[in-house]
Amino acid sequence: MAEIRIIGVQKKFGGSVIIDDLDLVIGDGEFFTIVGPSGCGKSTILNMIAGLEAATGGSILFDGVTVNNASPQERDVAMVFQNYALYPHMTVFENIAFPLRMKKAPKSVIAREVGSVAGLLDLDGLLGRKPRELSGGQRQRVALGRAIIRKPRVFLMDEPLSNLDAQLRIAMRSEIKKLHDQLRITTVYVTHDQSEALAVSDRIAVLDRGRIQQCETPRAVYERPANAFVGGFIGSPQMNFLDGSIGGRGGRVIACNGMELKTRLVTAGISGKVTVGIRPEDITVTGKKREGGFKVEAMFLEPAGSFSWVDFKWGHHVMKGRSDNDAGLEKGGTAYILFPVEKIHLFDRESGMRIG
Amino acid sequence: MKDKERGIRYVAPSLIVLTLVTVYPVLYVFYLSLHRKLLIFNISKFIALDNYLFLIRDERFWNALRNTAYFTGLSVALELLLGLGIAVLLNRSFRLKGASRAIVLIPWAIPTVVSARMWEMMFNTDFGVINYLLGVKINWLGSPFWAIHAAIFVDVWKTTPFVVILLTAGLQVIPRELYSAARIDGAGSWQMFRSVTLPLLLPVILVVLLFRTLDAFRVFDAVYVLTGGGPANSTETVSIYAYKVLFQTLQFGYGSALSLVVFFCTGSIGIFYIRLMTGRRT
Amino acid sequence: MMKRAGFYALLAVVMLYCAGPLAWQLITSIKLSGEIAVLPPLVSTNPTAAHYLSVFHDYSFARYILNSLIVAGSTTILSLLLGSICSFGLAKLRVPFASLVLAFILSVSMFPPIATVSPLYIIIRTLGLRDTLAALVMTHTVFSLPLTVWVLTNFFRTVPDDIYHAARIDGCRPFQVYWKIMLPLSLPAVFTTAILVFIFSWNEFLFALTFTSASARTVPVAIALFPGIHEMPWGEIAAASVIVTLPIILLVLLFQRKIVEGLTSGAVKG
Repeated sequence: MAEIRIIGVQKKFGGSVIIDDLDLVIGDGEFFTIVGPSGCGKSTILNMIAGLEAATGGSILFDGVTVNNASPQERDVAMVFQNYALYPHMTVFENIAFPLRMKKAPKSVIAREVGSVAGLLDLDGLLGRKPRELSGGQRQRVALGRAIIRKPRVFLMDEPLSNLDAQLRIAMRSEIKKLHDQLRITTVYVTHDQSEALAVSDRIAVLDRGRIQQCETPRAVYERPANAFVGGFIGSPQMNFLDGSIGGRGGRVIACNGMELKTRLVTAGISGKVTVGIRPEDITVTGKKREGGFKVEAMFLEPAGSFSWVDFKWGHHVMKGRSDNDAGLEKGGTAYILFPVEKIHLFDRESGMRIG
Repeated sequence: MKDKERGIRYVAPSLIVLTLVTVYPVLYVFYLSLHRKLLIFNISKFIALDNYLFLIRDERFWNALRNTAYFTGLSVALELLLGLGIAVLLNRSFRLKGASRAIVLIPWAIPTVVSARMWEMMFNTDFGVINYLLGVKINWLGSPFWAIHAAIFVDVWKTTPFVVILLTAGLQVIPRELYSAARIDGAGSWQMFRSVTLPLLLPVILVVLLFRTLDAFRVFDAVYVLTGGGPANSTETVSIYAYKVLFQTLQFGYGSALSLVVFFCTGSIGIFYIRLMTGRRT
Repeated sequence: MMKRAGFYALLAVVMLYCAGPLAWQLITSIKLSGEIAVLPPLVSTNPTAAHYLSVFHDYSFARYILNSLIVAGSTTILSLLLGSICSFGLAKLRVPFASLVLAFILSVSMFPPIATVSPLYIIIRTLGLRDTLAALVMTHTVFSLPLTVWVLTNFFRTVPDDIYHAARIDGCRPFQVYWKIMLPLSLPAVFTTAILVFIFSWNEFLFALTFTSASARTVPVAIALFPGIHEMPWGEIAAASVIVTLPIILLVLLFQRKIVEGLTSGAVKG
């Protein structure tokens, strides 16, 4: 187990900078997730922690010791890959045993350890099979087994669930979480799926274009996105964005879509153009007129079981909100929206940074 | 994404032996070609370009070059046509397809020397099975006109399987739907061949032409064993002439100059085809 | 129906064209010497094994076969060892100008052997390797390297990089990844290449002719230089041809699919 400290790390590839001046501290035993759109550099960070790629600048420390020049086996990390990367010519037993064989562990130890890992991951009956005879979920568990068998200091996972179907993905997600709770090994997890990140992590780093946009607990990232990118990336369905401006009496009123919203969120003295963000789940849409509600046009209903998502038109903006199934909405009909003012997120329109 | 470990250490051994056994000798050949070198008398004298000046006036060299060009042109053309025909034939589905494909490979697998010997016997004027089957009494390997064509025939027989293999592989990657689409558009089998098969096969045909032209141009063993270059040098290729000068008269200087001609000709052929291929791709 | 019959007739002609000459050689090899020199009859009325026995008794063919086996076997092993290491570097490690290196290696396959045979002869003579199997193993290995590197690099490139990474993470040094993962994983491709290299070396003539005289003579040279005192010993030549060809034909018939895979590797983009 180890604390990972990344200081000023940079990765250039040819002329382009992939990672620029990255600072990150991942605590001992923490389940840390790096999330971001594809091509944002998250796998590069993981590969640099693993020692598969060299950083072009800065340093990476495990428990205070620089590991920049250490090979993967010296770093004592384990990794789970998106496409599992099982050795196709070896049986399940041989795959799981491989890291121990490389450490020249005695045969009896290998047999015992593989047995206990297989028990933990429910692989007992499959030890004699080759990877091609396994289902996707089983292969995933073998890959996990191969990673945990030698009790590494750091556990790295690169999109481990994205090749599984939706149902299995959710099941495996909680299995990985449970495994982490049992083993308490520092885990760095990379995914492009924000809901996965929210579900499993102790802390999340949201990455975009090689830079960390925000690094906090899932709840903080969701409730107080540091900028418009994070607001839009985290949460599903996506946050609604409106153009607005803060005006007049001490910046307490936001002119937005022709409406004025009174708010106490804005600190006095700020004025100018802003982006207003409201999460769909914070907007209640009803068919009946309600006090303080804004009049909109309901466009499209998407039932989600116990409630429905509603696309509506407010002024010239198309937005999404949620409604109860008995809200009496009609396609094309008039509707009213309500949202608590304190749930509004404000971002500077120029820089995208959060205000207030 | 590559390991930071330098891969050059893995590549170096092969590069070194390749350089030592191929590049270095070619440079050495050039050096030799500037000398009069008679191995038996231990004579080695720098004579600059005299060997090349001699070469230009050497009628036997021009004859060998003509023979080589004729041999190359005709045998490659025939191999391609025959190979294309057989590939198309074997691309249909029928019983015993696997066995047929294996049998087609037989001439490719037979050692060239053995195939030359085999045909030598079959071309025999008196007891050869070819004259017997045709009911004629032609001295195939004894007349200049027939001998070069017999040599071409043997080469075509031996190397057509290679052409068939590559073209068959090329045919298999042509999507079946294209033929269905062409049929719906009203194309007949010849039109389908002209407008679907041939254009899509062209890249593979170029690869085949590259390999086969290079091989045919440097032909040695098939012809050497079949006719020894005779009769009256009518089947002598540049490689055979070079070999005779090198190892029968032991003139290493002039022989090297001759073998360099083969090197530059094949080099030019290679560059020509590779240009053609890369030009098509862009 | 007519069309089908025409197709099979054409197919039969092609098959006869490809396999006929070898069959004829087989027929000839069991004819008595007297029968070979006259036609008809086409097929022997009184088959004999005399030529086969003579090939071993009178022409020391066992020796040549052993030589060929040693040369082709050693060439195959050496070429695959050198070539697979090189391919591993090219496919999975960082090699400066990797595509240029590969292009150079391939261009060597275009070198005409005749252009290198004279200096190689001098080098081999100087090293005292004339008429040794080592001289042949060396040249055959090098001239088969382009094929080996080409086929194996193409194959190694189809193995996901993550397999390489996983092995590194699991504690392999790069060379161990090659030895413990890539090579066992690629056995089918290695096998295909081995067959191709073996056939190349078994059939090679020019170097074998030039560098050997007696003790290191290989089968193709022996067949090409079959000694005839008064007239050609056609029966023996036919028998010898059948002996050296049958093992290769057997390989081809058994591993047709693999050989085709190897020969077309990279030439056809699927």
